[in-house]
Amino acid sequence: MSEISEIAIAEPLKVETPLHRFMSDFADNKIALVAFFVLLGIIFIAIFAPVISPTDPYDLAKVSIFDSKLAPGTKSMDEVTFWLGTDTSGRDLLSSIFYGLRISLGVGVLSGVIALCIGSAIGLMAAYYGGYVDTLIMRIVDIQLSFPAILVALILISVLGKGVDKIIIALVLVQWAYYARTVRGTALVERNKEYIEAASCLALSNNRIVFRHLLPNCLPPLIVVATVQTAHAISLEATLSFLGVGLPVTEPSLGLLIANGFNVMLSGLYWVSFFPGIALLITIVSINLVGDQLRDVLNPRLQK
Amino acid sequence: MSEVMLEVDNLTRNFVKKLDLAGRLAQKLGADIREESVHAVDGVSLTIAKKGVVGLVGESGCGKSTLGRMIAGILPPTSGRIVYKGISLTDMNFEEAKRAALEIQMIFQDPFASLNPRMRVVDIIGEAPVAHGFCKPSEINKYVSDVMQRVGLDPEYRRRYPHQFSGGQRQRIGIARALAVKPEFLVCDEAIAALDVSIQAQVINLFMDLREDLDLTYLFISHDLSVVEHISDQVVIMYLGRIVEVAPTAELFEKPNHPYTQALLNEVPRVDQRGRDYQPVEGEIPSPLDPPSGCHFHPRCPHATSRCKAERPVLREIAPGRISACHLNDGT
Ligand SMILES: Nc1ncnc2c1ncn2[C@@H]1O[C@H](COP(=O)(O)OP(=O)(O)O)[C@@H](O)[C@H]1O
Ligand code: SF4
Ligand SMILES: [Mg+2]
Repeated sequence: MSEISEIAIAEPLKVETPLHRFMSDFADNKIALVAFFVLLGIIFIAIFAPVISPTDPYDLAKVSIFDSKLAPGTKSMDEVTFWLGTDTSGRDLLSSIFYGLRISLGVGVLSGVIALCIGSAIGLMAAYYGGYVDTLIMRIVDIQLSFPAILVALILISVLGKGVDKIIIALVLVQWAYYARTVRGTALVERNKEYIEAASCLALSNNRIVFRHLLPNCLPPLIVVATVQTAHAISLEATLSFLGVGLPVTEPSLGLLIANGFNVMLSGLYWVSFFPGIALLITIVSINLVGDQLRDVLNPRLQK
Repeated sequence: MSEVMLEVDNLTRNFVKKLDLAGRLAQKLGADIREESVHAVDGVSLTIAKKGVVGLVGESGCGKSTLGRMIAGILPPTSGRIVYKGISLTDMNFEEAKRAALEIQMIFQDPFASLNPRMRVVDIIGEAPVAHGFCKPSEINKYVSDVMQRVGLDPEYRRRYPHQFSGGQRQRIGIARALAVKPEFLVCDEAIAALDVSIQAQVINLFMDLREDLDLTYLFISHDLSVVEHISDQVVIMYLGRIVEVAPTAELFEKPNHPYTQALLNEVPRVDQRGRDYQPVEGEIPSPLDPPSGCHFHPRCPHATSRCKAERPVLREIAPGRISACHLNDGT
């Protein structure tokens, strides 16, 4: 039969999931691949900081003022090597950076995830209901995005006060609009595609159509925005902390470490703020490189 | 007269493009801007018999898809009635409406856009039958395999994703998805227009085999008369939102009545020009935003008179089972 012949021609492909295809496309760019592994390393450090740090920089019993201001590579009195030196209170800088990464990455990712959930729910709603709901939501988004993020964050912090939770709230409020705009844009395009019509023709429920059909197809641009926004959140938090309005001193992020070292920079203790700065730079650059490659791979217009 | 499957009564659908804020402001300030309204479907009535195959033909933009979508329940009509198996869709209770929604299925034009790219074939085909209780979640593989076999797809491929199939195979997946909810009436909207010519015949044959096996009724939409010639028993010709002629297929091809049908037929043998945006009749299609007065076809009609510009011709019976909307029929 003629129909069967068409099947016979189809070469016996291995089952190639979109994920497989995506991963092999991603690996095409070697720089992005390196950035990806660097990022994995950073995430590993952030998660296991308490285990892998040479010392606990916040255990006051173990921090000795006699170890303060030691240059990188110096040994302490009890034979611990301070590879990156110590700060003005005698804390091991390497350990401080590990703990700082944990805080910076934690705040960045957590605020990113919350903003993503809230923003995409709002964006989906705008696209699905349209009309006044859409107009209202998009006006708020436009207004929000027309102010510089740092300004909005500063105002929010001065209203909310200090603290990890306050910083996360401020970062979420600054970021949700990016997610909402992205999801709405994609959902408006996807909503009019025939597979959505097919789903409604099959009398599937609205919930199922939105969450099983619409949302998964809005994910690619969302993932890209999420990486870029996470890097943005981390640097925003660092800026706020550097300005002294971010995280409390008891939870020093990379930004606070840089600020602490900044005061003694001119006295020759360059390492106290230099190494946390490098750590922040590597983190943000690697997230952005991964994000760029994700954008290239997920962009349907570039896809072969 | 055979049993009636579906009756459409004076069905109308307008698309209104609302003015945005800037537009409304400009209008207040005296600019010549109005809300734009398109009568995509303008008072269409037609009857489809059980197990019948009706071909719906007209140039691109004449409202075929809009009509098909309304019948398939995807798009609500602006006014008019759709009566399925004797009950108006709006009068149905929840259960009846769901049954009707599943019994009327649509096959789409674009074999790429009509399949969710992130679902495996087994889920694309099996989602609705499981959701509606046609099969248990544990039996989805067997159920889907049966349907795939019926449309000529190898069930071994059910765990693949749509991008791993050719256009023809994707269209079969779309057909399988519809068949999986046991439909009785298929609206095929340009279902073969996007396929290679060599594959088109295979898919048409599949439709006809399914008709035999499952007693299906079809509304077969195409911009190309030659596609419906061999499969439909009745042809409906649409022009700018209105039906202009309805006739049994053989009679229509033998003796077309409406000047527009005649113009369409003149172009049929030129198979080499068959394409998606192919415009068979001389002259531009008028803008549906601003349709011509009287008979919509008068700017392109070789027989147009002053009466055609002023007065809209009504659909009249010109022979048993044949209707046409043209003033030329009044003389006889
Ligand atoms: N969702 C929509 N919004 C606005 N106008 C539409 C929409 N769908 C169709 N139209 C308009 O309705 C008319 C008929 O379209 P359609 O039914 O797709 O025609 P066909 O399928 O015969 O090519 C066209 O003028 C088209 O621009
Ligand atoms: S009514 Fe007039 S313009 Fe319209 S098709 Fe007939 S002859 Fe042509
Ligand atoms: Mg169409």
